[in-house]
Amino acid sequence: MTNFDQQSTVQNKFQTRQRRERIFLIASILIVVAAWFYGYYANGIEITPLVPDVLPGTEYIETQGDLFIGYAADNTIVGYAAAGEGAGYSGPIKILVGVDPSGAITGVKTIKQRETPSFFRLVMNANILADMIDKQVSDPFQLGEDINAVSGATLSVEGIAASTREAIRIIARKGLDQSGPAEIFSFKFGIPEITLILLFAAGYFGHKMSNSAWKRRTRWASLLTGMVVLGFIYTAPFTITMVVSLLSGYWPDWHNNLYWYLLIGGILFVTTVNAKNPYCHWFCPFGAVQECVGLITKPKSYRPRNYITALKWFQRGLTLAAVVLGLILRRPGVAGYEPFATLFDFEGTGIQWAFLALILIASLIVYRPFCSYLCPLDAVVDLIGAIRKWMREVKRKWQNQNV
Amino acid sequence: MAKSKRINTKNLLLAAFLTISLTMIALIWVSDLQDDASVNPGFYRNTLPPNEAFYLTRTAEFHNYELGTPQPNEIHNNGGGSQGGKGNQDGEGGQGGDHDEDPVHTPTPTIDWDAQEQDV
Repeated sequence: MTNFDQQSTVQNKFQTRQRRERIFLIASILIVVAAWFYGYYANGIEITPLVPDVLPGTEYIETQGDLFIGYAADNTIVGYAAAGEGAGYSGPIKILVGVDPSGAITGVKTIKQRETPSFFRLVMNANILADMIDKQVSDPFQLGEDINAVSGATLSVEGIAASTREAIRIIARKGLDQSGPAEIFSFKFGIPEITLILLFAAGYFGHKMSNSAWKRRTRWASLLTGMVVLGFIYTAPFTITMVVSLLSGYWPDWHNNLYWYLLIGGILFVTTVNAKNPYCHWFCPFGAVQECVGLITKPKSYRPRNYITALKWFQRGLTLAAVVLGLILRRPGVAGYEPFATLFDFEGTGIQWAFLALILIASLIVYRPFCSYLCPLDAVVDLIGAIRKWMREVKRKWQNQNV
Repeated sequence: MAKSKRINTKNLLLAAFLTISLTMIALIWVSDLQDDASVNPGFYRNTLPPNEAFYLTRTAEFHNYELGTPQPNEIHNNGGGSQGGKGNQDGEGGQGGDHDEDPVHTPTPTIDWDAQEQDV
């Protein structure tokens, strides 16, 4: 075979592989869109039958717009109920609140929540909802004032508080002729946000350093900061849950969730513009833990040449399954399979602990096993890279045609 | 020969790792879907005991209506689901509740007092 024939064969193989990847890309996008529509139309909730749960003693209910009035057998008003919605960690949290005519809360019920079960269990164990019984509509219902924070589930508690405030405002204004708790938009910009910006800067400028020793030191400093601050202290790593929340339209209020926008926006922006992903190699908390464990045995990366494509498709398939599951059920929290909460919050089921143990043991044998074979962010970055490359080709062809 | 044996062993271990990981991830998803914390909890004051007299009264009124006795001027519904509005002070009945939208409770038939009055 001549050189020309060899080059031609290689070119053909490359084009076949590229065509196959683009077909997979289009198929993935279509599947995700179909899952989105299915989840959107399959997840409605009828509230009225739930009203007696929060207004005990109700015999019948009158509806006035978004206000429910419960009546007892003797036609006296048992109380008023309304549903409010607030942004949780993985999506909206909808709470139904019942209030008696004196303004005291008689019942609180979650109608809809998309939180990761382990985080929501933390909130329930802290009696956040139960403690609301007998509170007054004039109370502030603010985190840090009359609602306790729950470490590791702050966003879930904020979502519950916001939705309760909205429900009580409806009841207070329409049923009790009062104003109800005020909605205060406090702009949150503190240690997690500042740390995240500095880490992005470290990753962006660090990988351009020419001095390899300083580059290594900067990378380790950045990794350890990510592991301690974003991991163990704030438990705020990037997860596939955020991608599903983004696709589901569950965007939290930016005033007090700026971190969410900085993290997901930063990763998407840098990957799209620069084709580089500083998060994974410079400050991913779980990646840092795997590397720390790997310091014991100094393992190498292992991607057998014959199986590179199969490993890539495995990772992509797993990510696609997680996204589709989250979109169909409209429960981003369920889509997340990463063992981050187990490690950083010490909260998880037996199987999650076993999975974490498997990965940590594998970290002694292979360099970053979770990142190499299972992490969904790799597949997301791949997808963005593939779309970017395709768009550039189309633009180049279009420019050539015009010339 | 030794090298290829080593590579085969590594590949087998990798395959085992991926299989076990996939199984665990599937179990995590199933466990999350069945998790009690996924069920929407609620908390409320102790429910008042039902007023048995109310049910007797409703039954008696209905029975008396059939015999042509004076009709009550309000619509009540013993069952759940969205209910008709209360009658106003002038004695006009409210609209019947829309039971078609209630997926949980069996619809209780409402009596349209106004229509009955016109028939009489």
